Amino acid sequence: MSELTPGPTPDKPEQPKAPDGWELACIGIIRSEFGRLRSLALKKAMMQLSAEKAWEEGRAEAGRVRWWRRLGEVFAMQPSLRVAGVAVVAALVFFAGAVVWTFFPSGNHIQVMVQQPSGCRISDAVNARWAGGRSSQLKPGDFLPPEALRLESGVVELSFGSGAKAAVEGPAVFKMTSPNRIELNEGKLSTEVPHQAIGFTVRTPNVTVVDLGTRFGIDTKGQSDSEVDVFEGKVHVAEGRDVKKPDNEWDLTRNMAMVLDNRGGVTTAAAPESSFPQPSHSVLIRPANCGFDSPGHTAIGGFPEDFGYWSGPAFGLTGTVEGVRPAEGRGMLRFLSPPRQGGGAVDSVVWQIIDLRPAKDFMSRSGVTDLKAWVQFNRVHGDARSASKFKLTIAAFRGAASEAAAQWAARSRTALATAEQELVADNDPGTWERVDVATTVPPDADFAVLEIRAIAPKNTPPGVDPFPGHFADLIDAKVCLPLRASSSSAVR
Amino acid sequence: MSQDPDSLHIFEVLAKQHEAMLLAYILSLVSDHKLAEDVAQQSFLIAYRKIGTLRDPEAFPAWLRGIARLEALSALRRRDREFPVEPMVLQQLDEAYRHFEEQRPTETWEERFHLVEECYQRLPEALQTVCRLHYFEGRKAWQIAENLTLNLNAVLKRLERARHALRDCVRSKLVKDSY
Repeated sequence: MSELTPGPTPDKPEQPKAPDGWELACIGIIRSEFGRLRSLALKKAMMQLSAEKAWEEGRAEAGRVRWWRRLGEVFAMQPSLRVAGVAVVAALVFFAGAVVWTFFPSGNHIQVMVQQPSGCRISDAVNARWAGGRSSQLKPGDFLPPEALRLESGVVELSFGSGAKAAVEGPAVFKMTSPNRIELNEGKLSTEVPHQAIGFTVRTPNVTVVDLGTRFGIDTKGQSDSEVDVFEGKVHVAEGRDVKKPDNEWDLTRNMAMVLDNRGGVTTAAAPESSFPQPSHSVLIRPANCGFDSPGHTAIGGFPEDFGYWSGPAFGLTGTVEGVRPAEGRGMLRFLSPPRQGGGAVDSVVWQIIDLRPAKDFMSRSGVTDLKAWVQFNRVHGDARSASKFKLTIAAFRGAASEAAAQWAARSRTALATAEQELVADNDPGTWERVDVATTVPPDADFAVLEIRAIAPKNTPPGVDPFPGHFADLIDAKVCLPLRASSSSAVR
Repeated sequence: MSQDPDSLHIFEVLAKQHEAMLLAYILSLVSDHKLAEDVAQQSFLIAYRKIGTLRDPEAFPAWLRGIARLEALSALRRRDREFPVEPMVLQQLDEAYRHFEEQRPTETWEERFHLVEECYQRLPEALQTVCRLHYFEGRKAWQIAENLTLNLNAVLKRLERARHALRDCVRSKLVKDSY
């Protein structure tokens, strides 16, 4: 392929011109890795729109139920109206029946009344036990119904359409009243509210708390006893049910708390965050080119010397090949056979060093965290002479990337944490199989090494390639704190 | 569309076809990938809510770019990183995307962008290197200068020459396609 003309002489002293529109278009396309960069924007937008839609449908449904209930209450309160009520209802039923008979003479037009969701989803649960009835079956992934719920015990994590997240610990009674508002009548709740969900509101029987972008906890013990603790940011606390006409109001900032009962409110220092249930937190420590969709961030050679690229003695990036399609996107990693050493076939290995420093704040704040990694493997249909096993390993170390090779070689002594998992892959190129590893990591870890390995079978005959089509795709890693119950009561 | 019970699904199918284009378009104006993701997400939300105002379904990609342009410039303003983009430059940017659509109507955006990749691969090694380090890997010009032991001005000039060469190549290919 001929090269483009490089233009006039290099390195003239005058300032370069700003890019024109066509150049900007090229820059954007390059930055998007020629359209191959994976984006979650549409997925996130659709999740938000689905949650909003579910909320609107739930509210419309609740409105219909309220209308019938109110009508019932009017008749119940006024005995003299009961006879008239019966007559009115009978007339309405007759009229509706006549309309259906006239305009829809055939077919089934009866619609089952289904309780619509609230726009808030249960994203995780630990030992959760709900009070009986319909809600007893609630599980992670379900939308909450817009009705009062009783969590007998355990902890659940709720994800709101607005982006806010809350952990509720049983025994608790609560109800979603809008995609950004919850009523907590009893129990403990802590919440984390991102910038876009500012205004998230928790109402207890005696307090209304409006979030101004923060992490805070609430403990409600009854009709007139609530405690609000702020761990980060700022909240507005209004005594009473109506935030617009409060009896008293305060702004609380980091490490402040307020205990409110029927004698009024007293400010104090916040209880430890562990006194409240805590939603899960995670920071992705995504390896560069984690989907193997772009040509960059790879090198053939030994153990990598720096962060952010895949290196190994024999591998390549490819699109669909040998009947195997990438698990997602355009590309996947293909394991190739490294040169044999002393006659025997050797494993095909690829590594990347991941910088943990961007997650350092989170790790220091959280103490010991979980370190998790996952990848998908696949292989072509093969016989006993071709490899059937893969392995994923992650290990965390202290120090600089330049020391990674030595530390990795002595990892049984030097690693702060390590985890590995082997997979015996099925013989079906149509299925990708996922491998997960997890360990705990201390906050002083500086970098992690990810290794993916296709394991050569023992005694592979000379001249036989043990890796006729062995692939990896969608590798990723994160440090996280799982959803947890409170470790003690928030008593000072 | 928003009246239809399947409107979300229909919108998702339509938007999916233009997701790669939208991200690339936003990345023309915003270099921070995380911010670009946020702008893209916001643009999709606005597009769904305002889809009723779109008269010509064929104009969806250009309409989506219009929303993204306003969102990107307003996000930069909020971050106090507004840089003056001349209206003429924005017009040219849209013109470039229109050319992709008009000259290659049957292709997906990824296929259309392959044309830019071909031009990129034809750049001389020295220009390709600075381009990769700056636009692909997000390194600052001064960092590249340090790594390659060049002076800053030389790196900036190389980037400029790379951009010009890419522009000329892409334009000539699109124009050639039209004949």
